[in-house]
Amino acid sequence: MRPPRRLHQFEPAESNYETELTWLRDRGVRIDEKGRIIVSLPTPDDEDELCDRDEEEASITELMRREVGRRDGGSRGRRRRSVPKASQRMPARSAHPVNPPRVGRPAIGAEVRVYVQTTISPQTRETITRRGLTLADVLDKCAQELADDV
Amino acid sequence: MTSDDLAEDKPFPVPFGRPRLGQPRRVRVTTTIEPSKLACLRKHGLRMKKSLGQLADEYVCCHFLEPEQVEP
Repeated sequence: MRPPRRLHQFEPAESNYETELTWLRDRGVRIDEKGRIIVSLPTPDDEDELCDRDEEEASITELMRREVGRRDGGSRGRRRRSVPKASQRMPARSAHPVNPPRVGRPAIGAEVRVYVQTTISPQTRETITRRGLTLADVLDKCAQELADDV
Repeated sequence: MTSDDLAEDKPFPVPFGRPRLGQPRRVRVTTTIEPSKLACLRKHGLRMKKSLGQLADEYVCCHFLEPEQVEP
């Protein structure tokens, strides 16, 4: 019977393994005589260290959470603006709604409206209120008719 | 809004003294209008010697009121 032939191609692999074991030993990993890595649970001393670290971190968190005075306002984070009560809200400027301010360059065909103060008869006011119109609508239509006539 | 933005439109003719008896007081209203339309209405108002409010009164009388509803 022929003895098992040693394959030369495995030698580099074995040497790599040895190098790896040496590298592990150098870094404090315990390896037995057969090359097995000894897995060990942390000793009670190590556990105490870990627990201490956790407690320390917890205590810092607790400090941040509890010991910062709520009245100081520093720990409240971003404050939100409270919704104003109905009584605190700004009253409507007038019966006529004004277009909200627009951002950007003026759009073609839409002019910026200017304020005008005038007097109308109470009957006119009642009529346009009853019809759900505004004086601005009436003036717009009036101007439109005049422009059409010309 | 500045004072320049708010143009006051005075009625024609401007009544002096206290209001006449039986004449309802006019209501002061602030509104907005496009400048081009304001120019058009002012031009027409100057020609007819009427204010913007009086033009609005006239328009409402002609378009929204029945003849019997119109106050003298």
